[in-house]
Amino acid sequence: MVRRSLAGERGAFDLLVVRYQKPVYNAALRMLHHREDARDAAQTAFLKAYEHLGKYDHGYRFYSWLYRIVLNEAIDVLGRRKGTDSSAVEIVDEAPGPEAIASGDQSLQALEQALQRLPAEQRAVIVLRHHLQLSYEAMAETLGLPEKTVKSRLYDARQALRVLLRDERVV
Amino acid sequence: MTDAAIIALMYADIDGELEGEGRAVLARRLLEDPECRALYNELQGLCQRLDALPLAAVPDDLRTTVLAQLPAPPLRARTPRLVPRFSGQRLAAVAAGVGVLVGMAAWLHAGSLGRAGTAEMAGTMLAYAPTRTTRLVSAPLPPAVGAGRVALVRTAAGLALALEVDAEHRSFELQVSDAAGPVALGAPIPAAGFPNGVRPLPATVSSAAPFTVSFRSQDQLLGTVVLDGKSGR
Repeated sequence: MVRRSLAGERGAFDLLVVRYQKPVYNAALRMLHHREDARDAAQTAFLKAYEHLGKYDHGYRFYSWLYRIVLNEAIDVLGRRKGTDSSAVEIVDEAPGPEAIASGDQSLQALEQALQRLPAEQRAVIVLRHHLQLSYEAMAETLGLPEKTVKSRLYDARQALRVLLRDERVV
Repeated sequence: MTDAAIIALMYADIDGELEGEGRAVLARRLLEDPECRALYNELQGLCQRLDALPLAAVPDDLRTTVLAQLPAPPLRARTPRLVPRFSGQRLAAVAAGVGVLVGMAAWLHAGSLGRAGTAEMAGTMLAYAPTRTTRLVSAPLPPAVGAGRVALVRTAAGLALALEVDAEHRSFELQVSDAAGPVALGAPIPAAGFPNGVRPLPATVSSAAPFTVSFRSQDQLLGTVVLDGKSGR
């Protein structure tokens, strides 16, 4: 589909959007905790992917490249919100996500809130591992980091979540 | 071994990425230490709850908005800044330095100051330089699972199975069968999850002989795929 998109087939790129819109949008939503911002970030990510498809190396996984674009886009949005360091804690909305509310599960709601308290780079590894179900290797490929660094960041993120949840007496 | 090291082993095991000596060390600790077992259960519970966080429906107009905004002559625009920012300013500075060096080397080689594209190429190499994975063979998923493909790939760590599954799919479990018999591959994948990624294969699986990948859901066989790395099919 990537090759067909490169050849100018808009229908082929349409199929890529259909295939990846759910993970891309949900990755942005988990990062930003804001539906409109997530929608904009996902949209921009797809447009950037299309624009730069010619630079995509077919030796690598397409979704790693695409997920990297959307995560960078989300981090840009976080940076613009704060106007300072995008890796700092960013809380847009103290309320749980709509999906957690719909589920009615209080522990999931607490988990959603705790996630939003993580620094962006820790949130990103949680998104890649638990929402996009990527292996350590694919996460390293997506983030452009050594696998060891990814494991360490994932460890820190989970431990931070444990502390946050314990503080709220959920764990 | 420190507590942090044991916890790291626990997380790796829960993620299905612990092998060899680490697995033996962890198994011994879990057998000997009830507190260790309790901690393992707590961490497993946390990971399961993270996996279970519900996903949002995609806005109806996302796809149409994207398609409506695609530029007419595709793929001709300027390069955006896509270098990952996760490592902060230090990485950016190192990347810029390497980019300049590569650009200078290319310029010296070309012998022309005005040669276009060298700096762009260096930037691209930095932005998209993940670990290389070689795809040996792939096949469509069984229709009962969903649309997509499953591939046998060679990674730096050895053979692995790569899933490229569409967003919409059934919940399923993976099982690999070769001459040594069937082996479950990782944790069950919920329908809401995105299983795309690679899963290391057991050492008994070889690229020189065909093996079967079974897709199961609650003891029901959804379908099988035979991958033969030797044939390249």
